[in-house]
Amino acid sequence: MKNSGISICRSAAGMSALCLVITFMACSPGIVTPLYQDAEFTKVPVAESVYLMPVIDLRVDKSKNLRLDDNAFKHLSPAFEKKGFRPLRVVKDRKLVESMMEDDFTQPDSSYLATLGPAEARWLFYPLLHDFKSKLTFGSTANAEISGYIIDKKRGRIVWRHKGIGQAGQGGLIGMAMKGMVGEEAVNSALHSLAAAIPKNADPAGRGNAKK
Amino acid sequence: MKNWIYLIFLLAGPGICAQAPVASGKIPFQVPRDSSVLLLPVFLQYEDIYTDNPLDPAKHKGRESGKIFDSLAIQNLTQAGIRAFMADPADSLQGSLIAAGKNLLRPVTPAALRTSIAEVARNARCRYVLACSFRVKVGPGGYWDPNSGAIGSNASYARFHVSLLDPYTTDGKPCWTQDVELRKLPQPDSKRFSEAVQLLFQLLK
Repeated sequence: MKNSGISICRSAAGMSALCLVITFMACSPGIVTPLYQDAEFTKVPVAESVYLMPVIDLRVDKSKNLRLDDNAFKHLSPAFEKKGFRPLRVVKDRKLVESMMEDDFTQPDSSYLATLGPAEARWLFYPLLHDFKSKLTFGSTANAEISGYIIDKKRGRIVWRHKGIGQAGQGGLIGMAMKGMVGEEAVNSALHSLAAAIPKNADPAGRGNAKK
Repeated sequence: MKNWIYLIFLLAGPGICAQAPVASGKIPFQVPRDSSVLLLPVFLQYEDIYTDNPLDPAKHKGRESGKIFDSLAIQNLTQAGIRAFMADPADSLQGSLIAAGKNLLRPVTPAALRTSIAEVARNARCRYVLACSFRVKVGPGGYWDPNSGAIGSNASYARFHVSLLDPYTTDGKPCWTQDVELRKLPQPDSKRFSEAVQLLFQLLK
């Protein structure tokens, strides 16, 4: 009788431990593989700051102000620091991106890439907002599609590319009242998935050099 | 009962309106009455929304959509009083221009293409060349989770683009462009599709 009680306790404890392990595995952040990554980018340590450029807005309907530049900085800067990069340097001059199109990244010209951004910068991060749509039904929904490109100006090459898709929504009257929040959640979710694929800096000691 | 119907329309109305196509440009362009336009067959791009990898248009009624787009484009231009002719892919000159596809839709036409645009326009006795594209991003559909009340709307969308190219401009910029967005996968026989094409050419007079 005593033995069966012990065995029940053991199996219950075993099951609990198994559940814990499964929960931990499910909650731990997985390794996200970017859509493209230059082989050398992961080997060469990045000692300089990466410059975060203003978001290139590719929407057809640009009427809704999404405070994208602030949101991008809020999500991307901690992600870069966590991966061993120096804090992002923000470029606020929207004139630098006004005439840029998606084709500048999908059909890149190395001589053109080398001229982008501030003169002193080597690494540039360009976020592109392809799409954002919020919809009010019996509830509210929103979709956001954001991609990011890291450019090495010195070599005139795109060294990293990834994309984040955000889908959010809440049904019912409460959802209808939350339309603004739902839109923000979709953008944040897209930026979060974009940030998750930022690679580790090859030599985080680059930060140490920077402090000197 | 009437109140319920009113409430349903009130709640669903904005959602239905959100599906209507939206145009980006508001500037009209007047094609001179003695000029004609050579319309190139639409350039189709179907892509996966997550990776931007190309998808087979045939799996999403792409070919039918392309054919219907071209016929609707000619119809809309003719209704606006514009003399428009469809380019012939079998013609060697026009065929090479059609093959240039996406490059014709760039904000500035590459210099190498400008001479062939001028040559094609001259041979076809047309003043302008009209290049069109539609790009479809195929993404996840809508969802409803009855446990949490979370809902999501369809992420697929289509963007129609048109550039009116003047072979005699020096800067290589199109003389008129328009973009229209449709918030769903284009169904060639749907009313929304023809509305989107109509909206695309509405400001070309």
